[in-house]
Amino acid sequence: MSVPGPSGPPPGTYQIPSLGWRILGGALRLIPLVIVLIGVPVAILSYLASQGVSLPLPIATVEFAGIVITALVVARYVWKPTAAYGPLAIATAAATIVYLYLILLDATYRLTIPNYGVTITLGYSTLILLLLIVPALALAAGALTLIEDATAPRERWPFDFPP
Amino acid sequence: MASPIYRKPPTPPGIYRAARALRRLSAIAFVVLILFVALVGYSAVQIIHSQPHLGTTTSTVEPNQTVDVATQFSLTNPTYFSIQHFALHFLILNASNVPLLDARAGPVSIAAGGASNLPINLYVPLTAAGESLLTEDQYLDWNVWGNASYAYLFTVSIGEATERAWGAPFDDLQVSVGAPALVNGQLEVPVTISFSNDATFAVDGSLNYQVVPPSGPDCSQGSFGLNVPSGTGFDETQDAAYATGCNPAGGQVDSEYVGNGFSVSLPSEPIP
Repeated sequence: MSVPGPSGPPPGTYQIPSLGWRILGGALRLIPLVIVLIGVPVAILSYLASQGVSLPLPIATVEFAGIVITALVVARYVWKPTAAYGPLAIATAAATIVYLYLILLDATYRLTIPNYGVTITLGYSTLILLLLIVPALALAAGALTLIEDATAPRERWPFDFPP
Repeated sequence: MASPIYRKPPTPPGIYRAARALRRLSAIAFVVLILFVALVGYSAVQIIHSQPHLGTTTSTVEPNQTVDVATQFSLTNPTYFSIQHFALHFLILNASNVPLLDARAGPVSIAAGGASNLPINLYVPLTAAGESLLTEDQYLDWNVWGNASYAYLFTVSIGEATERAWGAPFDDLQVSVGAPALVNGQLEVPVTISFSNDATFAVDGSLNYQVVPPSGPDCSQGSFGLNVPSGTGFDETQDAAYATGCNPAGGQVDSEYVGNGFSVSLPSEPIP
């Protein structure tokens, strides 16, 4: 995918970073995303599994979902000046919704304390339902951007990439 | 008047502003939810630090042939969120895994910054499956579940399964009937009753008994006065009038504990 030619807004009203800079920016975003979406959850789940605590979600699912969402977020950033931004934003939100839905299917955490006969169960389905608002709003935003790019290509450049 | 150098930035189109507003709203919702969850987590730790606890437990025999195990659960909520629908569910099984009790306490709601004492009265039956509680020390399976909603978002359930020792008020109850003898021209029989009061309450009242042969009318009957403090034993013999010609061999001794306004039948003791 390439950046459209100079037939859009007047030159000087925007300044789009080169593909190299955008890839660099995406790579920098990769670091916190990998830590938050993959590193921390997998570390917590691995620790719980090592303590004999049953997991509400398989570690492989968390890893796969984290990789997919991270890749989509980075791709969305790199291709922000193109018409692919809207679909990528929708895909990112949709992947997050699917991920949260998988968590919602068994939104119960059971902790059994050995030798004491004590079981603690925590239900957090309402929290997950509320969290679903976040990607739902992002999905709507992506849809609006898709429509905007389809009806008025490059219209958003001066505002997304001010000089 | 506008500066000739300063040029007012163009206003973004409506659809762009709508998309931007949605993105910002999404980010704000995410941050608010994360902060809320962090605050709830911190508050939950405060509840644990407030040390919810069971009060002192008392046991009394009730007129309806039950033992009332009474206590209360104290819970303080020093947080910004209320605890809703807090309830406890008890299931007690005897040593043979037969359910003795299935009871609930609550629900109550505890407002933010409030405290609550949840009264708990467990009426353990002393008849049918609970009859052995009168005469046998045993371990009972206590299963307790606590349920509550916290901060409107989380449901919390805590379950505990423990074995608790039960001390019987007539532990190791033994009744023996001696040989009849003529005393002052009247036929009498020595009846000995012994037991250990291992319950947490005193046994006050009387123990009425009947010596019942395999067939025919009772051979003898009588009553022991009881004032047995918790943790002490009882061993007494008394001579009771005996029906001429009665042969109790192969029969049984039926007994009944009569307290203040109630009576409980004790398991029959066979006569060899």
